[in-house]
Amino acid sequence: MISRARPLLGTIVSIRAGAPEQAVAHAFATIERVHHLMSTHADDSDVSRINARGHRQAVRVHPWTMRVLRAAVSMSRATGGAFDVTLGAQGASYADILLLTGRRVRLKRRASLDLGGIAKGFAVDLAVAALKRCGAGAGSVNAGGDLRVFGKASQSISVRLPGDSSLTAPLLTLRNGACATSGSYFGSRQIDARGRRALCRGYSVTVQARNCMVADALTKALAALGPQPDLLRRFNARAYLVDAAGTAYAPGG
Amino acid sequence: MSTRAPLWVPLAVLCAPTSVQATQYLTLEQAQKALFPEADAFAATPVRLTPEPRARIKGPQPTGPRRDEQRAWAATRGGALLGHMLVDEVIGKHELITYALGVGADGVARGVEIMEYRESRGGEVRDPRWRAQFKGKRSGTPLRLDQDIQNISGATLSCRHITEGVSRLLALHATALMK
Repeated sequence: MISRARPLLGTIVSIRAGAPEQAVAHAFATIERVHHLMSTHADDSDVSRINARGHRQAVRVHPWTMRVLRAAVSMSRATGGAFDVTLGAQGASYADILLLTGRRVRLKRRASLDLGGIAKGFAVDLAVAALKRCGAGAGSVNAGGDLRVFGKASQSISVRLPGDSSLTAPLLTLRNGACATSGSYFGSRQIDARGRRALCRGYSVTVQARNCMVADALTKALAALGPQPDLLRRFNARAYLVDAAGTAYAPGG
Repeated sequence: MSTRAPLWVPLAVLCAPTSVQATQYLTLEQAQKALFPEADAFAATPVRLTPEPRARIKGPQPTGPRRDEQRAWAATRGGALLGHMLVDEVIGKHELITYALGVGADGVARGVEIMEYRESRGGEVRDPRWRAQFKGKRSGTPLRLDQDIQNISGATLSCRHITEGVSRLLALHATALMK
């Protein structure tokens, strides 16, 4: 097993794999590519070009960007807009994103897309695929908490505790799966009403799913909506809430 | 069928949170090889940080431990200069990150590799005695690590400190190491 880490996607991405050095370098190069396509910081990224010109003309994008946008829009539909990659400032929503043939993207009105809530998970999935293609039998890719593990053995996953992110505690085990965690500053009404302790100090939502892009997007939706058993079933996912006192909760009902 | 909104129901109290995570990713030699795979020799070319060039370097001030010297190595192949590797440390909220920056002879960054990552609870990250354990480390004398950071989800770590460090090192490289 080798472990390598690089600053990418605005966070620290670490890769652990039973693979040659070149395989890990290839996985990092894949993540770097996603970063360059979907960053809002570079003017020539697909996302920046859509944001600058998409309301005036169709913008042709890389197949990866198209895949992320398709997943984002379908996640928006599934969550009634709780997950939305358009920044709401101009009153725009996911319904203003038109995905056309020939990998072209058009916006019905001026809008700012930000794929921050889904591109990291997508990059993790691609990096895992790259490692496997290079012959890696087991390993993990972790982009600042959006992570995916592969291999025969189960791997233990810890979460940072909301309220004190320097503390971590084991939450679940994963085998060929992914998870992502999202913090939230709002107390859940249902739990507050029942007098659960410590929730006002914050909690985090962790979603476990088959791939990291779905886990990444679902955490955002669940942090906003609360537990959604139907939504989780639909994506074959599980969710956990962890409060600052280190108590884990699961969706009931 | 119930129309009641679903609730979060208690599952378990997570066992004993741990507070120290650390991983050594690369030794000095491994970092050199990763950033300049084609090099056949590395020569230490530390840069003395006198107050004068320090003031000339614009951009963010160092967030890492203050040094009088910037660690740097010249990478060569057959005597020809390929570029430099600079090793730096940055301190975040509760993490200390040692990273290496590779810069080509043309002044363009080749890549950043994190050599070591260590985080801890409380203020010890800012304690010089705690940081001292990182100094003068060479391959063959690995740190004893409390726990490998593996598979930790949540609270996205920012790489802002590294980004700031890299621009500072690039400025230093242009001032002191480009002929």
